[in-house]
Amino acid sequence: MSEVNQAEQHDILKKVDPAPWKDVPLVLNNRSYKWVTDKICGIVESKTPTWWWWCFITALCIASFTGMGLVYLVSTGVGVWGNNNPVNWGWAIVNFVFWIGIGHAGTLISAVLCLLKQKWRTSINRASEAMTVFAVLCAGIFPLFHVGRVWFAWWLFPLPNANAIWPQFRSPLEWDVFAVSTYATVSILFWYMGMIPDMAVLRDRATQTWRKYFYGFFAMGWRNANNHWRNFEMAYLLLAGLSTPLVLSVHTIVSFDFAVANLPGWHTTIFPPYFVAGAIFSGFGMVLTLLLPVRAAFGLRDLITQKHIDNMCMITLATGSLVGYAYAMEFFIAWYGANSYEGFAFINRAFGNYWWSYWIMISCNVICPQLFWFKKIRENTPLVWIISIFVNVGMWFERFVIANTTLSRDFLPSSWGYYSPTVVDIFTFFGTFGFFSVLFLLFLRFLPLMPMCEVKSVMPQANPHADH
Amino acid sequence: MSEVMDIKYAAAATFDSAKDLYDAAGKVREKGYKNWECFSPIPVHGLDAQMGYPRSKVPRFTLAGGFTGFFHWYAHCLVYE
Repeated sequence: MSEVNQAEQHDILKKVDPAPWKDVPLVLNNRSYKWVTDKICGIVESKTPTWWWWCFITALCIASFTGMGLVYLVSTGVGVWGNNNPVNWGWAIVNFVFWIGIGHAGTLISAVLCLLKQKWRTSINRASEAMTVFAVLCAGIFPLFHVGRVWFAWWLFPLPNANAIWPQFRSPLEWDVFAVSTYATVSILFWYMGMIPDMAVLRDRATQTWRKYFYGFFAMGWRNANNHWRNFEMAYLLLAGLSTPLVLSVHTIVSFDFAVANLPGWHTTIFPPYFVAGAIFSGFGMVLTLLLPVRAAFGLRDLITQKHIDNMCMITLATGSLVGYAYAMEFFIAWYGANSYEGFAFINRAFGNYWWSYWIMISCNVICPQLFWFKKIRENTPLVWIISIFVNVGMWFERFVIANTTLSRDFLPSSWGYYSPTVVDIFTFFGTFGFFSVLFLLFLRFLPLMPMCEVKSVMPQANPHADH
Repeated sequence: MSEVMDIKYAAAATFDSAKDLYDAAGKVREKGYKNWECFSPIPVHGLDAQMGYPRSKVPRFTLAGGFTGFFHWYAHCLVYE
């Protein structure tokens, strides 16, 4: 190809008359830069909408359930949860894995799609990163309070103390402490760093003094100079590179919580990839659940286009199918491995004491996302939103199935039991949705919802080499 | 180039498109100016090279941070047993 000179190439193109490649625009209706700035800053600068207050107050009320549940737990003891022998983990681990999994889509969108130069990520990455940070906060609540005496939670860190108490480094639960705290740190850094140029825009447009100080403080003197941009871009790229392994490693280590234990149904090598696929699946489910209403509420149809929704649906479909494959493969290996305990664990999963949760999981995670094969369904936004809710429900049940079917039916029938959550379990988990919503609503109200500079840089005006 | 201001200490110009800014940056560099800067709402692709900037120093700081962490781990976990 290199030997063909450019003039000849053009002649060839004239002769064969190729069909023009239609790039779907990422910002519709030929919007200008000013429109993007006004739209995104307008969300933060305009008067607080009434619906925001209603949502915020409702979310606060729901969040208080977690508050009350935790106060009751700390003042009474961890026995107020339904965890008991043999199901020692109960809802605590289920809720922890559920929330931590949701965070993964944010990191995938911001880091992996950045390295793969997927330009469509620009209008959804900020909100997904926010989702990641808030989901990790919700996840942290459960192991933190499950230790019982939460004021000793700092013992989880290898800090020298007078009692010579040292964490057990051979336990994957300890690895979780490091994996999740690294994950939280890097996610917050990534989220904040990306916001600096947008904070500067909000600072420059601000009319109220507190806004000037608030955004001015966080913008760290950003002036849009090219000298800033080149360091910003390099730092962004490096952070993307550093957080890409985290997409895989965090949920791998979470899966080790189970896989390292010698219990049938848990002790399998498929767990790390299966958990990572599930995490991305649940994360994209949550991104859709959050962004479709945001898109409607703020009129962002030109920025979050059908192409974005299509892509998110297709990733959900792909990861949902991977998860379905993993479910099937677990059954196959249980039979093929000819281990009677393993075989029992899986027959028990599908037809035993928790059969209903298994079939909720299968229908929500494997069957539901298959609907995304159809363009008609992907274009029906309310339906996509409903399916995304099913994905969230299904992924919670996946963790419930894994944790509870195995623990309630282990090797010795004499120690079998049936686990049910208490009302405190239910309230504490229910409240985390409120806690998450409170944080997300504050984010919508006070921080730039989309990275304006990144959205602008995928618009045709940004190309310095184009004819105009 | 829509407007040029000429005052004693400095000159500033505004441009309508990324391409104009990019082309102008090349001309300013060729003229040999030392103390100048481009401002844009987005990172303009290739403007670093056009302005004659060397590679960003951020990777060196990142590497230094990485080494610090590595030696911390090495000293703590391997040497101090």
